[in-house]
Amino acid sequence: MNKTAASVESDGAIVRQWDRRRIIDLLGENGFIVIFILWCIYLSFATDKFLTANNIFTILRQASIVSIVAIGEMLVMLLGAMDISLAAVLGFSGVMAAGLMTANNVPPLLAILIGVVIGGGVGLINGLLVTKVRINAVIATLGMMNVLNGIAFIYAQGQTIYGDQMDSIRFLARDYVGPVPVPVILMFVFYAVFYLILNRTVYGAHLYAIGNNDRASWLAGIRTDRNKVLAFIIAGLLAGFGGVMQASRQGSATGGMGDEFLFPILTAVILGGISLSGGKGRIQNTLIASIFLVTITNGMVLLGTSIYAQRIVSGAILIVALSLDRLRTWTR
Amino acid sequence: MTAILELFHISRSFPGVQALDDVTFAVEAGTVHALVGENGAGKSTLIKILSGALASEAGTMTLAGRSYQPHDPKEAIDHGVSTIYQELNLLSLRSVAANITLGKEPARGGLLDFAAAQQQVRQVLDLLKAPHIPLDAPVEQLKVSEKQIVEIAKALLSQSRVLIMDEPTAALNSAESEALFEIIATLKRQGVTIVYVSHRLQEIFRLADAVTVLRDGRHIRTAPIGEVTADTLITDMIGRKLEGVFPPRNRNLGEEALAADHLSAAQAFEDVTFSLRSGEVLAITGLTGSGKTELGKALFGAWPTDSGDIRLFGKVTRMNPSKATTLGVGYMPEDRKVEGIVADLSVRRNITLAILSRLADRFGVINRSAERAAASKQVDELEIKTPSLEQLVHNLSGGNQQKVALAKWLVSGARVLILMEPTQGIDVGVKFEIYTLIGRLSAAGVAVLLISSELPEILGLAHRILVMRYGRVVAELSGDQTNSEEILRYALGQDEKLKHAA
Repeated sequence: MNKTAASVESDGAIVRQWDRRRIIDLLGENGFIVIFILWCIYLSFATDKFLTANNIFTILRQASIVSIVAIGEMLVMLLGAMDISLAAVLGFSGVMAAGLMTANNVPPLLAILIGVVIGGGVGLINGLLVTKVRINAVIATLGMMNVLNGIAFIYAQGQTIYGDQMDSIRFLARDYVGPVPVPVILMFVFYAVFYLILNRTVYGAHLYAIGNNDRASWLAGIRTDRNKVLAFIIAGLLAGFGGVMQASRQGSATGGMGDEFLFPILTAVILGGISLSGGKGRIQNTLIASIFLVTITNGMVLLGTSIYAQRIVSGAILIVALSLDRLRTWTR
Repeated sequence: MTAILELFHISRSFPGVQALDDVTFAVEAGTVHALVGENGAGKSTLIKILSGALASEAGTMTLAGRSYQPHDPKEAIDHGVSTIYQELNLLSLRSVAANITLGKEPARGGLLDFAAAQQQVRQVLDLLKAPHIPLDAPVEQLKVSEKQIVEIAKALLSQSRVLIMDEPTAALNSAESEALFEIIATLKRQGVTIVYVSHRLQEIFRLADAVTVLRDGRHIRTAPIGEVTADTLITDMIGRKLEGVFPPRNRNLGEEALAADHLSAAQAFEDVTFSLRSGEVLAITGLTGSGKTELGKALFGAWPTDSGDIRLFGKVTRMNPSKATTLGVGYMPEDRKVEGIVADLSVRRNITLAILSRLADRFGVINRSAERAAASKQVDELEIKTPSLEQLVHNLSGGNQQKVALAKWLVSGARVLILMEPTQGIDVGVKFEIYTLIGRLSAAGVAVLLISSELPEILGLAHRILVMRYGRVVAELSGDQTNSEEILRYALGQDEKLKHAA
C-alpha cells in the first residue's frame, strides 16, 4: 500500500493550525510580560529613580525569597496540585533555625541545614498525605499550614527571636558580592538549576507528563506517586531555605514571619502561567512574575501613591495580566 | 512450543459485574495470540491485569515459567510486557516525541538526550509508515488515527517479550494497518509474543496463530487458528448464531431534512453538495484524511466553514452545536470518550443530558421521576447492559457506552442524526444491535447521516453512499447497487490505481 496523498494533505493542515495556535499560546502564556514591560517603560519615564542599578537590585533582592519558594510551588502546581503550606513552612523553618542558633547555640551552618531539612520533612508528610492517604492537596496543606503556624507561635512564645548569633547568617540575605546582593545570586542559581531540571532531566519530563495525564504516565511505567512526593519534598526544602533567608534578612524571627508570603508565592506561580490543572508552564515565567509583583509595589512607592491605591492597582494589574491568559480559551 | 504466559483461574469483579470468572489459558511463546469476545466479555479487564494496571482478585499467572504478579504497570514493563491500550493514554499537551519516549526517555549523564529521542522516534514512526506525523506537535492537535499511531509507537519503543495490542487498528486506514501487520510479522520473527485483541475477524485469521474466546467473563475456548472458522468464532463469542444482520432499508422517504450546498472548509473539504431526506440513511465514506470527519463536524457546527450553505428542513442555517441540538440535530462523535459521553456521570444523567431543561419545572428543578422514567425506557429498549441507572458510564463496556451516547439523542427526539464511526471498536453482537437501532430510527423518519469507514455497514445500511477523496465528493453510489471494490476504487483514486498497475 502507498502512503496516500490524503495524509500529506492532513499534515499540512496540522502544521498551519499549529502555527496559529502557537502564536496565541505564546501571547497567552507571556501576556503578563508585555504588561510588565509597559509598566517598566512607564516608570522609567515617570520617575528618576526606577531605572537605577540601585533600585533594580532592590527589586531583585525583594523578589528573591518569594521567587525561590515559588519554584517549589511551581513544581507542585505543575502536577495539578497546590501547596498552601509553603508560607507556613517558611515561617516554621525560620523560627526553628533562629531559635536553635540564639537559644541553643547551634552552629549557624547546622541551623541552616536543620531549617531546610525541617521543610523537606514537612514536604514529605504533605506528599504522603496527598498520594497515599489520598487527601486533596489543597485541604492537606491547608491543615498543615495551621499546624505549622501553631507550632511556630508556641515555639517562639509569641516573641521575636533575635540575638547576636543571627549576624552569623547575614551572608544569606544581607551581604553583597561586589554590587550584587547574595540573595539575588542565590535566586538566579536556583532558577538556573531548576530550569535545567525541568527542561533537561527525566524527572522534569515526568513532572510535566504526570501533570498532563496522571494515568497515562502511570501506565507508561512511571512511578507517579514517588515523583509527586519528591515534588512536595523539594517544595518543602526550598520553603525551609526561604525561611532561613528571611530570618537572615530580618536578623530576627517571629511565629508569623511566613504570613506575608502566602499570597505572593501563589500569585507569582499563577501569574507566571502555570495551568491550574497542571502539565503546563515555564519556570522562567515564574521568576519574571515574582519580579513583576515586586515591581508593582516598588513603582507605586516611587510614584508616591497611597498604600490603599497600591492595593487597587496591584489587584487590577493582576486581573488584566491573567485575562490575557484567557485569550487562549476565547480563540479556541 | 512452550508457554510464555499462563493464566490460572483469574477472576475479577466490579460493582455489579463479574468481569472475569475463573479464566485459565496459556499463550505460546513467539506466537500471535488473538483474544476475542463481545463487549463486556472481559477482554479489557484481562489486558489490565496482564499489564499491571489492575490486580486480579483470584488466580495466578506465570511469565516464562516464573510467577508473574505485576503490582503496577512499571513492573509489567520491567518484565518485558508492554501494552498498546485502546483508549488512548496520551499526554495531550506534550509533543509526539515526548509521548513516544514517555517512561523511557534516553538520557546521558542525567540530562535528556533530545537527539537520541528524536532519532528513536523517527525510526519507529518510519517503521509505522507514518513519517508525516510532526515530532514537535502537541498530541492534542493530531487526528484520532495519528494518536493511535503514537500509542502504538510508544509500546514499540520498549524492548518487549510480550506485546499486548488492544484494537490497534480501530482508528487506522488500510495503509497504516498494513504497516502495523508487517511490524507484527517482524516482531514475531524476533521472538516477541503478541496478544492481539481485535473485532476484525479478517485480521485475526490473517495474523493469529491461536485464538482465545471470552464470553461474559468466562473462558470459552483456546484453539489453534486452523481449528476455528469465522462462523464458529462468532458463535462462540455471542453464544448463538448471528442472523438477520442488517435491517431492511426504509422505503418511505420524506422531505429534505439536511442538505449541504457547495460547502467548503479550508484544509478539510471543498464544494460538498448533497441532500438528505427524512427516513433516509446517507453514508459518507473515504480514507482517513478524506475530509469526511471534518464534514460531519461542520454539519453540526463544530468545524468552521468558509463558504457554501447548510440547509436544515429547507432553511439555510448557520450551525453551532447548541443551535443544532435545539433544532433537532443529534451528533455522535468519533471520539466517544472525549465528546460523546460524560464518563463520570451516571447512565441516567448521560441519557437525559440533552433534555434536562424539558424535564425541569420553571424554577429549573429537575423532575427526578420523569428523568428516571425517560432513562429507564432507553435502557430497556436499547438493552443497555448496566447494573443500574446510577452506574457511572465509564464502568460500562465500550458498546454499552456507545448505546448510551445514542440514547441521549433518542430521548431528545432528534430528527437528524449525524453518526461518526458509530461502531468503531465495538463487538459484532453490539454492532448489529446498533444497526438495528439505526434501521428503526430511519423507519421512524429520522434522517441519518452515517460517516463511516466500515464498508460492510455502509453497504448494509445506506440508501446512498457519497465517497470522498482529498476533501471532495468523488462519487455518489446507490447502497444496494454497489460493492466494496467500487467504493474503494473511488476512495483510493485513479492515480492510486495506476501506481498499483505499474
